[in-house]
Amino acid sequence: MNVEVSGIGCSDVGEHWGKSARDLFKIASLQALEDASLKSVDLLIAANMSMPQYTDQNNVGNYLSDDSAPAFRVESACSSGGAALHAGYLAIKSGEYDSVMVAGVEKMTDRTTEINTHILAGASDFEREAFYGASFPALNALLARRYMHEYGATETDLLMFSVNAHKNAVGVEHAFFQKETTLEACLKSPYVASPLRLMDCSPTCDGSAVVILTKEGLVKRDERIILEGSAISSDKLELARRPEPTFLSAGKASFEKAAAKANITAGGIDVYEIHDAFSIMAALDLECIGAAKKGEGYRLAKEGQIAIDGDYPIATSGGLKARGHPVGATGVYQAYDAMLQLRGKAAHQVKDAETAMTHNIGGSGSMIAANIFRRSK
Amino acid sequence: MRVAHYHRQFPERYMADGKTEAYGELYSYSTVTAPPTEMEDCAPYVIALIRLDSGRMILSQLTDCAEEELRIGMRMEMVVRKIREKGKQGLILYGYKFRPSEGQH
Repeated sequence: MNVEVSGIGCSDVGEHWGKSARDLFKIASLQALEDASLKSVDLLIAANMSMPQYTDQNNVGNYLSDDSAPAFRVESACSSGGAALHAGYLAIKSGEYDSVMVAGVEKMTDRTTEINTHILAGASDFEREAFYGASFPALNALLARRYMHEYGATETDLLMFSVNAHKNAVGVEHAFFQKETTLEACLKSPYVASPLRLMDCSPTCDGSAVVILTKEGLVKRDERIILEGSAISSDKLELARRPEPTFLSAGKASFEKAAAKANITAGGIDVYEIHDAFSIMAALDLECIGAAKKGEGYRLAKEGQIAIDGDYPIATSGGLKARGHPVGATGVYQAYDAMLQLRGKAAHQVKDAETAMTHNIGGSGSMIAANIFRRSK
Repeated sequence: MRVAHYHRQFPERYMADGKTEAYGELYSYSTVTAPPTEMEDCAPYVIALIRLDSGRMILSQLTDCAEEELRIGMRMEMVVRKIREKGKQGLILYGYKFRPSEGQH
Protein backbone atom coordinates (compact mmCIF):
# COMPACT_ATOMS: atom_id res chain seq x y z
CA MET A 1 0.00 0.00 0.00
CA ASN A 2 1.35 3.42 -0.97
CA VAL A 3 1.34 6.46 1.29
CA GLU A 4 0.09 9.59 -0.47
CA VAL A 5 0.63 13.22 0.44
CA SER A 6 -2.89 14.63 0.14
CA GLY A 7 -2.70 18.01 1.79
CA ILE A 8 -0.19 20.64 2.86
CA GLY A 9 -0.35 23.91 4.74
CA CYS A 10 1.85 26.25 6.73
CA SER A 11 2.01 29.53 8.55
CA ASP A 12 4.59 32.09 7.52
CA VAL A 13 7.88 31.51 9.29
CA GLY A 14 8.82 34.49 11.39
CA GLU A 15 8.52 36.31 14.70
CA HIS A 16 4.86 35.81 15.65
CA TRP A 17 4.71 37.66 18.94
CA GLY A 18 0.94 38.07 18.63
CA LYS A 19 0.19 34.39 18.02
CA SER A 20 0.41 31.24 20.11
CA ALA A 21 1.67 27.87 18.88
CA ARG A 22 -1.98 26.83 18.63
CA ASP A 23 -2.79 29.86 16.47
CA LEU A 24 0.03 28.97 14.09
CA PHE A 25 -1.08 25.34 13.94
CA LYS A 26 -4.65 26.42 13.12
CA ILE A 27 -3.45 28.36 10.10
CA ALA A 28 -1.40 25.41 8.84
CA SER A 29 -3.89 22.64 9.61
CA LEU A 30 -6.95 24.38 8.13
CA GLN A 31 -5.00 25.01 4.92
CA ALA A 32 -3.93 21.37 4.77
CA LEU A 33 -7.44 19.99 5.43
CA GLU A 34 -8.89 22.23 2.73
CA ASP A 35 -6.10 21.21 0.37
CA ALA A 36 -6.89 17.54 0.97
CA SER A 37 -10.69 18.11 0.89
CA LEU A 38 -10.92 16.42 4.29
CA LYS A 39 -12.85 17.50 7.37
CA SER A 40 -10.90 15.40 9.85
CA VAL A 41 -8.09 12.87 10.17
CA ASP A 42 -7.70 9.59 12.06
CA LEU A 43 -4.49 10.54 13.89
CA LEU A 44 -2.47 13.65 14.67
CA ILE A 45 1.28 13.40 15.16
CA ALA A 46 2.84 16.58 16.51
CA ALA A 47 6.45 17.32 15.63
CA ASN A 48 7.96 19.58 18.24
CA MET A 49 11.30 19.88 19.99
CA SER A 50 10.93 22.11 23.03
CA MET A 51 7.46 23.44 23.71
CA PRO A 52 7.66 22.37 27.38
CA GLN A 53 10.61 24.77 27.78
CA TYR A 54 9.45 27.50 25.41
CA THR A 55 5.82 27.80 26.53
CA ASP A 56 5.57 25.38 29.50
CA GLN A 57 3.21 23.21 27.45
CA ASN A 58 3.50 19.42 27.66
CA ASN A 59 1.03 17.00 26.08
CA VAL A 60 1.63 18.83 22.82
CA GLY A 61 -0.32 16.43 20.60
CA ASN A 62 -3.47 16.88 22.63
CA TYR A 63 -2.87 20.65 22.89
CA LEU A 64 -3.00 20.83 19.09
CA SER A 65 -5.80 18.35 18.38
CA ASP A 66 -8.02 19.62 21.21
CA ASP A 67 -10.50 17.03 20.05
CA SER A 68 -11.23 13.34 19.91
CA ALA A 69 -8.66 12.42 17.26
CA PRO A 70 -5.80 10.48 18.88
CA ALA A 71 -2.73 12.66 19.11
CA PHE A 72 0.80 12.49 20.45
CA ARG A 73 4.12 14.26 20.06
CA VAL A 74 7.29 13.01 18.38
CA GLU A 75 10.53 14.59 19.54
CA SER A 76 14.04 14.13 18.19
CA ALA A 77 15.37 17.69 18.46
CA CYS A 78 15.73 19.42 15.08
CA SER A 79 14.75 16.21 13.26
CA SER A 80 11.37 15.95 15.02
CA GLY A 81 9.59 16.85 11.78
CA GLY A 82 11.31 14.19 9.71
CA ALA A 83 10.82 11.61 12.44
CA ALA A 84 7.11 12.50 12.71
CA LEU A 85 6.73 12.03 8.95
CA HIS A 86 8.33 8.62 9.40
CA ALA A 87 5.86 7.83 12.20
CA GLY A 88 2.98 8.93 9.97
CA TYR A 89 4.32 6.78 7.13
CA LEU A 90 4.44 3.77 9.45
CA ALA A 91 0.93 4.46 10.75
CA ILE A 92 -0.53 4.32 7.22
CA LYS A 93 1.68 1.42 6.09
CA SER A 94 0.56 -0.62 9.07
CA GLY A 95 -3.03 -0.39 7.91
CA GLU A 96 -4.19 0.94 11.27
CA TYR A 97 -4.88 4.48 10.04
CA ASP A 98 -6.22 5.82 6.75
CA SER A 99 -5.29 9.46 7.30
CA VAL A 100 -2.62 11.05 9.46
CA MET A 101 -1.91 14.73 10.06
CA VAL A 102 1.79 15.39 10.69
CA ALA A 103 1.95 18.77 12.37
CA GLY A 104 5.23 20.55 13.00
CA VAL A 105 5.12 23.47 15.40
CA GLU A 106 7.65 25.56 17.31
CA LYS A 107 7.34 28.89 19.10
CA MET A 108 10.84 30.15 19.89
CA THR A 109 10.97 33.92 19.72
CA ASP A 110 9.30 34.79 23.02
CA ARG A 111 12.57 33.85 24.74
CA THR A 112 15.89 35.69 24.96
CA THR A 113 18.90 34.65 22.89
CA GLU A 114 20.63 33.19 25.97
CA ILE A 115 17.62 31.06 26.93
CA ASN A 116 17.20 29.94 23.32
CA THR A 117 20.87 28.98 23.18
CA HIS A 118 20.44 26.99 26.40
CA ILE A 119 17.30 25.19 25.15
CA LEU A 120 18.82 24.37 21.76
CA ALA A 121 21.94 22.99 23.45
CA GLY A 122 19.61 20.29 24.73
CA ALA A 123 19.79 18.80 21.23
CA SER A 124 23.35 17.77 22.09
CA ASP A 125 24.55 15.49 24.90
CA PHE A 126 23.86 17.82 27.81
CA GLU A 127 26.04 15.97 30.36
CA ARG A 128 29.05 15.71 28.10
CA GLU A 129 28.76 18.76 25.84
CA ALA A 130 26.38 21.53 26.86
CA PHE A 131 27.46 21.31 30.50
CA TYR A 132 30.93 22.50 29.48
CA GLY A 133 29.50 25.50 27.67
CA ALA A 134 29.26 24.04 24.18
CA SER A 135 26.40 25.88 22.49
CA PHE A 136 24.82 24.19 19.51
CA PRO A 137 26.53 26.56 17.07
CA ALA A 138 29.83 25.73 18.84
CA LEU A 139 29.46 22.01 18.05
CA ASN A 140 28.87 22.87 14.42
CA ALA A 141 31.81 25.27 14.56
CA LEU A 142 34.06 22.43 15.79
CA LEU A 143 33.00 20.44 12.73
CA ALA A 144 33.56 23.45 10.47
CA ARG A 145 37.07 24.16 11.82
CA ARG A 146 38.13 20.54 11.41
CA TYR A 147 36.54 20.29 7.95
CA MET A 148 38.37 23.42 6.81
CA HIS A 149 41.63 22.04 8.23
CA GLU A 150 41.27 18.64 6.57
CA TYR A 151 39.90 19.66 3.19
CA GLY A 152 41.04 23.22 2.58
CA ALA A 153 37.61 24.84 2.52
CA THR A 154 37.43 28.47 3.68
CA GLU A 155 34.90 30.55 5.61
CA THR A 156 33.98 32.18 2.31
CA ASP A 157 33.38 28.78 0.67
CA LEU A 158 30.93 27.80 3.40
CA LEU A 159 29.09 31.13 3.28
CA MET A 160 28.23 30.42 -0.37
CA PHE A 161 25.51 28.12 0.99
CA SER A 162 23.93 31.09 2.79
CA VAL A 163 24.08 33.30 -0.30
CA ASN A 164 22.29 30.59 -2.31
CA ALA A 165 19.64 30.07 0.38
CA HIS A 166 18.77 33.77 0.60
CA LYS A 167 18.53 34.02 -3.18
CA ASN A 168 16.03 31.15 -3.21
CA ALA A 169 13.86 32.75 -0.51
CA VAL A 170 13.10 35.86 -2.58
CA GLY A 171 9.41 35.83 -3.46
CA VAL A 172 8.63 32.85 -1.22
CA GLU A 173 5.57 33.94 0.78
CA HIS A 174 6.19 31.77 3.83
CA ALA A 175 9.93 32.45 4.08
CA PHE A 176 11.38 34.47 6.99
CA PHE A 177 14.14 36.31 5.06
CA GLN A 178 12.87 37.08 1.58
CA LYS A 179 15.92 39.00 0.47
CA GLU A 180 19.25 38.33 -1.12
CA THR A 181 22.53 38.71 0.66
CA THR A 182 26.11 38.99 -0.56
CA LEU A 183 29.35 37.32 0.44
CA GLU A 184 30.64 40.72 1.55
CA ALA A 185 27.66 41.22 3.87
CA CYS A 186 28.01 37.68 5.23
CA LEU A 187 31.71 38.24 5.97
CA LYS A 188 30.82 41.39 7.92
CA SER A 189 28.43 39.52 10.23
CA PRO A 190 29.85 38.79 13.70
CA TYR A 191 31.13 35.43 14.86
CA VAL A 192 28.68 33.38 16.90
CA ALA A 193 31.15 30.55 17.44
CA SER A 194 34.28 30.91 15.32
CA PRO A 195 34.72 30.07 12.46
CA LEU A 196 30.92 30.31 12.09
CA ARG A 197 29.37 33.75 11.77
CA LEU A 198 25.77 34.83 12.26
CA MET A 199 25.25 34.40 8.51
CA ASP A 200 26.40 30.76 8.65
CA CYS A 201 23.54 30.04 11.07
CA SER A 202 19.81 29.59 10.59
CA PRO A 203 17.57 31.93 12.62
CA THR A 204 15.36 31.19 15.61
CA CYS A 205 11.75 31.69 14.59
CA ASP A 206 8.14 30.60 14.99
CA GLY A 207 6.10 28.51 12.60
CA SER A 208 3.82 25.59 11.96
CA ALA A 209 3.70 23.32 8.93
CA VAL A 210 1.30 20.46 8.28
CA VAL A 211 1.36 17.53 5.88
CA ILE A 212 -1.57 15.12 5.60
CA LEU A 213 -0.68 11.57 4.67
CA THR A 214 -3.37 9.19 3.46
CA LYS A 215 -3.60 5.65 2.21
CA GLU A 216 -3.57 5.49 -1.56
CA GLY A 217 -6.89 6.34 -3.15
CA LEU A 218 -8.58 7.90 -0.10
CA VAL A 219 -8.31 11.39 -1.54
CA LYS A 220 -8.72 12.13 -5.25
CA ARG A 221 -6.24 14.68 -6.55
CA ASP A 222 -5.16 15.68 -10.05
CA GLU A 223 -1.54 14.97 -9.22
CA ARG A 224 -0.59 12.09 -6.96
CA ILE A 225 2.48 12.37 -4.79
CA ILE A 226 3.74 9.26 -3.04
CA LEU A 227 6.00 9.10 0.00
CA GLU A 228 8.02 6.24 -1.44
CA GLY A 229 10.83 5.90 1.03
CA SER A 230 11.06 6.91 4.68
CA ALA A 231 13.82 6.00 7.11
CA ILE A 232 15.62 7.22 10.21
CA SER A 233 19.07 6.44 11.56
CA SER A 234 20.98 7.37 14.68
CA ASP A 235 24.59 7.79 15.70
CA LYS A 236 26.32 8.52 18.99
CA LEU A 237 24.76 11.63 20.52
CA GLU A 238 28.12 13.03 21.60
CA LEU A 239 30.22 14.41 18.76
CA ALA A 240 33.51 13.31 20.36
CA ARG A 241 32.47 9.66 20.41
CA ARG A 242 31.99 9.36 16.66
CA PRO A 243 34.99 7.81 14.85
CA GLU A 244 34.87 10.39 12.05
CA PRO A 245 32.92 13.44 13.25
CA THR A 246 32.99 15.24 9.89
CA PHE A 247 31.17 12.39 8.15
CA LEU A 248 27.45 11.95 8.91
CA SER A 249 27.14 8.16 9.13
CA ALA A 250 23.50 8.40 10.25
CA GLY A 251 22.79 10.53 7.19
CA LYS A 252 24.31 7.97 4.86
CA ALA A 253 22.40 5.13 6.53
CA SER A 254 19.00 6.86 6.55
CA PHE A 255 19.36 8.08 2.98
CA GLU A 256 20.38 4.67 1.70
CA LYS A 257 17.50 2.95 3.47
CA ALA A 258 14.94 5.44 2.13
CA ALA A 259 16.51 5.43 -1.35
CA ALA A 260 16.41 1.64 -1.51
CA LYS A 261 12.68 1.68 -0.72
CA ALA A 262 12.15 4.36 -3.38
CA ASN A 263 14.44 2.49 -5.80
CA ILE A 264 16.49 5.61 -6.53
CA THR A 265 20.06 6.88 -6.15
CA ALA A 266 21.33 10.30 -5.09
CA GLY A 267 21.93 11.34 -8.68
CA GLY A 268 18.37 10.46 -9.71
CA ILE A 269 16.64 12.95 -7.42
CA ASP A 270 15.45 16.32 -8.73
CA VAL A 271 15.07 18.37 -5.51
CA TYR A 272 17.23 18.13 -2.37
CA GLU A 273 15.74 19.72 0.73
CA ILE A 274 18.77 19.15 2.93
CA HIS A 275 19.40 20.35 6.48
CA ASP A 276 21.31 23.65 6.18
CA ALA A 277 20.90 24.69 9.83
CA PHE A 278 24.54 25.74 9.56
CA SER A 279 26.55 26.19 6.37
CA ILE A 280 28.87 23.36 7.36
CA MET A 281 25.88 21.01 7.80
CA ALA A 282 24.82 21.67 4.20
CA ALA A 283 28.26 20.56 2.99
CA LEU A 284 28.34 17.48 5.22
CA ASP A 285 24.78 16.53 4.27
CA LEU A 286 25.55 16.62 0.54
CA GLU A 287 28.54 14.37 1.19
CA CYS A 288 26.73 11.77 3.28
CA ILE A 289 24.03 11.22 0.65
CA GLY A 290 26.71 10.76 -1.98
CA ALA A 291 26.09 13.97 -3.95
CA ALA A 292 29.77 14.81 -3.37
CA LYS A 293 32.85 12.93 -2.20
CA LYS A 294 34.14 13.41 1.33
CA GLY A 295 35.57 16.89 1.68
CA GLU A 296 34.09 18.11 -1.60
CA GLY A 297 30.55 19.10 -0.60
CA TYR A 298 31.52 22.76 -0.31
CA ARG A 299 32.59 22.74 -3.96
CA LEU A 300 28.97 22.20 -5.04
CA ALA A 301 28.17 25.62 -3.58
CA LYS A 302 31.31 27.24 -4.95
CA GLU A 303 30.63 25.90 -8.45
CA GLY A 304 26.91 26.71 -8.46
CA GLN A 305 25.63 23.13 -8.60
CA ILE A 306 23.28 23.74 -5.66
CA ALA A 307 21.39 26.46 -7.58
CA ILE A 308 17.82 25.89 -8.82
CA ASP A 309 19.13 25.03 -12.29
CA GLY A 310 22.11 23.03 -10.99
CA ASP A 311 22.54 19.27 -10.63
CA TYR A 312 21.76 19.36 -6.89
CA PRO A 313 19.24 22.13 -6.15
CA ILE A 314 18.96 22.56 -2.36
CA ALA A 315 17.00 24.89 -0.08
CA THR A 316 14.65 25.71 -2.94
CA SER A 317 12.43 27.95 -0.78
CA GLY A 318 15.36 29.33 1.17
CA GLY A 319 16.11 26.30 3.32
CA LEU A 320 16.67 26.49 7.06
CA LYS A 321 18.91 29.52 6.61
CA ALA A 322 16.43 31.84 4.85
CA ARG A 323 12.99 30.21 4.91
CA GLY A 324 13.74 29.67 8.60
CA HIS A 325 14.29 26.92 11.15
CA PRO A 326 11.50 26.64 13.75
CA VAL A 327 13.35 23.58 14.99
CA GLY A 328 10.73 20.90 15.64
CA ALA A 329 8.62 22.03 12.68
CA THR A 330 11.48 22.20 10.18
CA GLY A 331 11.22 18.65 8.83
CA VAL A 332 7.58 19.30 7.94
CA TYR A 333 8.45 22.64 6.29
CA GLN A 334 11.03 20.74 4.22
CA ALA A 335 8.28 18.37 3.07
CA TYR A 336 5.99 21.37 2.36
CA ASP A 337 8.69 22.92 0.17
CA ALA A 338 9.31 19.60 -1.58
CA MET A 339 5.57 19.34 -2.33
CA LEU A 340 5.53 22.82 -3.87
CA GLN A 341 8.26 21.64 -6.23
CA LEU A 342 6.53 18.36 -7.14
CA ARG A 343 3.23 20.18 -7.72
CA GLY A 344 4.98 22.72 -9.94
CA LYS A 345 3.95 25.55 -7.62
CA ALA A 346 7.32 26.69 -6.24
CA ALA A 347 8.42 30.32 -6.47
CA HIS A 348 11.70 29.04 -7.88
CA GLN A 349 10.65 25.97 -9.78
CA VAL A 350 13.05 23.13 -10.55
CA LYS A 351 12.10 22.21 -14.12
CA ASP A 352 9.97 19.06 -14.39
CA ALA A 353 10.67 18.00 -10.82
CA GLU A 354 9.37 14.47 -10.26
CA THR A 355 11.32 13.35 -7.20
CA ALA A 356 12.31 15.19 -4.05
CA MET A 357 14.05 14.25 -0.84
CA THR A 358 14.11 15.77 2.61
CA HIS A 359 16.99 15.13 4.98
CA ASN A 360 16.29 16.35 8.48
CA ILE A 361 19.13 16.33 11.02
CA GLY A 362 18.76 16.23 14.78
CA GLY A 363 21.61 16.94 17.18
CA SER A 364 25.03 17.51 15.67
CA GLY A 365 24.30 14.78 13.11
CA SER A 366 23.26 12.08 15.56
CA MET A 367 19.70 11.49 14.34
CA ILE A 368 18.78 11.89 10.70
CA ALA A 369 15.44 11.30 8.95
CA ALA A 370 15.21 10.79 5.20
CA ASN A 371 11.97 11.03 3.24
CA ILE A 372 11.73 10.62 -0.53
CA PHE A 373 8.69 11.74 -2.51
CA ARG A 374 7.70 11.02 -6.10
CA ARG A 375 5.05 12.51 -8.34
CA SER A 376 3.17 9.60 -9.83
CA LYS A 377 2.45 9.71 -13.56
CA MET B 1 42.02 14.89 47.80
CA ARG B 2 39.58 13.18 45.56
CA VAL B 3 37.90 15.13 42.83
CA ALA B 4 34.37 14.20 41.94
CA HIS B 5 33.53 15.07 38.40
CA TYR B 6 30.37 15.22 36.36
CA HIS B 7 31.66 13.08 33.54
CA ARG B 8 30.81 9.81 35.23
CA GLN B 9 32.28 7.45 32.67
CA PHE B 10 35.60 9.24 32.56
CA PRO B 11 38.42 7.16 34.12
CA GLU B 12 39.13 8.47 37.59
CA ARG B 13 42.84 7.91 37.24
CA TYR B 14 42.96 11.01 35.07
CA MET B 15 42.01 13.13 38.05
CA ALA B 16 43.75 11.49 41.04
CA ASP B 17 44.98 13.83 43.81
CA GLY B 18 43.86 16.90 41.96
CA LYS B 19 46.57 16.40 39.36
CA THR B 20 45.86 15.27 35.89
CA GLU B 21 47.50 12.68 33.75
CA ALA B 22 45.48 13.45 30.67
CA TYR B 23 47.29 14.67 27.62
CA GLY B 24 46.34 14.84 24.02
CA GLU B 25 46.25 16.80 20.79
CA LEU B 26 43.94 19.61 19.74
CA TYR B 27 41.47 18.24 17.17
CA SER B 28 39.29 21.32 16.71
CA TYR B 29 38.27 24.50 18.55
CA SER B 30 35.77 27.37 18.54
CA THR B 31 35.45 30.61 20.46
CA VAL B 32 31.91 30.99 21.77
CA THR B 33 30.74 34.61 21.65
CA ALA B 34 26.99 33.88 21.99
CA PRO B 35 26.77 31.87 25.24
CA PRO B 36 23.83 30.00 26.78
CA THR B 37 22.38 30.90 30.19
CA GLU B 38 24.71 30.38 33.18
CA MET B 39 27.70 30.95 30.88
CA GLU B 40 27.17 34.66 30.12
CA ASP B 41 29.90 35.77 32.52
CA CYS B 42 32.45 33.40 30.95
CA ALA B 43 32.07 34.51 27.31
CA PRO B 44 34.03 34.63 25.16
CA TYR B 45 35.45 31.19 25.93
CA VAL B 46 36.99 28.45 23.81
CA ILE B 47 35.38 25.02 23.34
CA ALA B 48 37.56 22.27 21.90
CA LEU B 49 37.77 18.64 20.95
CA ILE B 50 40.92 16.92 22.25
CA ARG B 51 42.19 13.59 20.93
CA LEU B 52 43.63 11.99 24.09
CA ASP B 53 46.75 9.86 23.91
CA SER B 54 44.54 6.88 24.71
CA GLY B 55 42.86 7.49 21.35
CA ARG B 56 39.61 8.65 22.85
CA MET B 57 38.19 12.08 21.98
CA ILE B 58 36.83 14.45 24.62
CA LEU B 59 35.05 17.81 24.53
CA SER B 60 36.31 20.45 26.90
CA GLN B 61 36.63 24.16 27.47
CA LEU B 62 40.16 25.51 27.07
CA THR B 63 41.80 27.78 29.61
CA ASP B 64 45.01 29.81 30.03
CA CYS B 65 45.23 30.56 26.30
CA ALA B 66 43.83 32.79 23.56
CA GLU B 67 42.41 31.54 20.29
CA GLU B 68 45.29 33.11 18.35
CA GLU B 69 47.78 30.77 20.04
CA LEU B 70 45.91 27.65 19.02
CA ARG B 71 46.68 25.37 16.13
CA ILE B 72 45.17 21.99 15.34
CA GLY B 73 47.50 19.18 16.44
CA MET B 74 49.17 21.06 19.32
CA ARG B 75 49.80 19.27 22.65
CA MET B 76 47.22 19.85 25.40
CA GLU B 77 46.96 18.94 29.08
CA MET B 78 44.05 18.64 31.49
CA VAL B 79 43.54 20.84 34.56
CA VAL B 80 40.78 21.14 37.18
CA ARG B 81 38.70 24.31 36.93
CA LYS B 82 35.34 25.79 37.83
CA ILE B 83 32.86 25.16 35.03
CA ARG B 84 29.74 27.06 36.11
CA GLU B 85 27.67 28.33 39.05
CA LYS B 86 24.03 27.41 39.52
CA GLY B 87 22.92 30.92 40.43
CA LYS B 88 23.89 33.06 43.41
CA GLN B 89 22.99 30.47 46.04
CA GLY B 90 23.45 27.29 44.02
CA LEU B 91 26.26 24.82 43.60
CA ILE B 92 29.61 25.76 42.17
CA LEU B 93 30.37 23.02 39.66
CA TYR B 94 33.94 21.96 38.97
CA GLY B 95 35.28 19.84 36.16
CA TYR B 96 38.16 19.62 33.73
CA LYS B 97 39.48 22.07 31.18
CA PHE B 98 42.46 21.76 28.87
CA ARG B 99 45.33 24.12 28.13
CA PRO B 100 48.35 24.08 25.86
CA SER B 101 50.99 21.79 27.37
CA GLU B 102 54.44 23.24 27.87
CA GLY B 103 56.21 20.01 28.88
CA GLN B 104 57.39 17.17 26.71
CA HIS B 105 54.26 15.10 27.16
